[in-house]
Amino acid sequence: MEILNGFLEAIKGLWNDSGFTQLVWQNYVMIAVACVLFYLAIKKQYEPLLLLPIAFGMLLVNLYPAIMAPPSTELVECTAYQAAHEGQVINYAVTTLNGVDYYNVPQYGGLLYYLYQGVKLGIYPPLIFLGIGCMTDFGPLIASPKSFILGAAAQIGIFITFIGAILLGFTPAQSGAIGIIGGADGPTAIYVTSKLAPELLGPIAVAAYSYMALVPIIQPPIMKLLTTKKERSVVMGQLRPVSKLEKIIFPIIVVIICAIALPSAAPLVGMLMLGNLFKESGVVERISKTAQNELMNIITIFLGTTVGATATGTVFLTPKTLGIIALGLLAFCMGTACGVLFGKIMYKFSGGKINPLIGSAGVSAVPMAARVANKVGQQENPGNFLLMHAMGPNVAGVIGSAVAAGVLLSVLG
Amino acid sequence: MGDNFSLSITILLTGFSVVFAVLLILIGIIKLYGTVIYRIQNKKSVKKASRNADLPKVERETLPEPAAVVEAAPGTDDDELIAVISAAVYSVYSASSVRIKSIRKAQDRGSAWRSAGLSDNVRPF
Repeated sequence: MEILNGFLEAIKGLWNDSGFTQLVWQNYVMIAVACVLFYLAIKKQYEPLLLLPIAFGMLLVNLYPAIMAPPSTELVECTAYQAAHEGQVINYAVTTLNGVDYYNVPQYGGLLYYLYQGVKLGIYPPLIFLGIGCMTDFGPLIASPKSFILGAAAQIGIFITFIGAILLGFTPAQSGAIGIIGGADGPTAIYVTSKLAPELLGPIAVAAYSYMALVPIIQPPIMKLLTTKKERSVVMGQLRPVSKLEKIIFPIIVVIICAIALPSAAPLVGMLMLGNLFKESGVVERISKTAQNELMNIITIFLGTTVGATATGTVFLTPKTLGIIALGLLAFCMGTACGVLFGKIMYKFSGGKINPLIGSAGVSAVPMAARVANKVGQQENPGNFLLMHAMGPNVAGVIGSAVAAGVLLSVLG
Repeated sequence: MGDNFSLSITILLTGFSVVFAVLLILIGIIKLYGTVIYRIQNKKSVKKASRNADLPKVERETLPEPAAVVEAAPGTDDDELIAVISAAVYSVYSASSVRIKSIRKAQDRGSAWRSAGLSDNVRPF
């Protein structure tokens, strides 16, 4: 009988600890959202490198919220502790309550909590930028520096959304973090949010990465709406060849200008340009390969999983988060629209030589946004290859969003 | 609310102007150094080309330059033949350092090509 009671007690304890009693309805909703993201990542292949770890982090934290729990202390009666540990005296701090001594026994945090520190302390985003720098060819931008204008234009969405967020009652710092979603640059969004509004990191990171993954769905309708068939059909002339020396000088000049003008943008721009110098110098091939492969992959796993793990049901499913998601979409659409509109202006000024579609690539989201510009152009004229032309504004957008981040950090930080 | 609105406008104007200013400065600098590097490298390549052009000069001077006469085997397309020979000459000596005056069929000087072709075809694998 005693054995049966013990067995039932054990089962009862396990039941009470299980997700069946611990989880709330919000967790189940988030599990369903994670499954939708799995579908988009695996079946539709929307940025699977990001979406898959994000979705799995989201799944894990909603099944077992303690995986993101911070370290804590538990009060354990001293006598009970010593009895359980064969009278061992331990150096834990002692708290006395109602004449009874308690040890402050430290409880370690969850696995993802520790991995998340790289996000929280702003370490992963610049490291991701290092890898991106190693993979980016700034040649199209050097060949056609006017692409920088489109990269800058697409950042206007950030500042317009800032106004929208203020009007919806968010604080200025929170509004800055929400606006940066319009930069369509995951690492930049995380970096700015970790500095300005760490409490919004989960929804903002999920929104930024989700919209980046959904670029092929979000951008084409806006691009088609704002351009005519004639404008979309423009075939652009070939870009001039760029010498190796120009490519080597480029990262050094960009980092000098950006870091002097906006020191707060230095961590992001600096790491981006360091990675690019690794690539273009050609003398540190080993380091370049490591930065763009192993290091980048490791950081992507940590970043994606822990960003997804910030989306716990109870925190995520609130009207505020839904507002952030909506504002993020607005920011993204505004960025695309401003890029295309400036593209149209350049189309007029160049006498019809510039295809305005490449302006949409100014929102960063490398290289997806450039691919989308190319694809939409080819829908009008299958022989039109806009990819290299769109890569100019695309990489300019990365620099532009880092500069915009620097402005927000300087003014609001 | 009024404060927040004025802050919003300030951020919009600051952000807009700073982002454009920084990127416009970058445009200017990239264009400037792009032009400088292009000129330096162009000068170097011209020098190189002129140095290369010096080499075959002696040989050319020793050859008498006949009038523009094109003699081709019957049945061949003359324009096509001229284009092919010109392209080959220009690819060896750069276009700026050479001017083709005439193309003549070479004398049959024995079996150099024939023997080369023969040896190529009969070479054991």
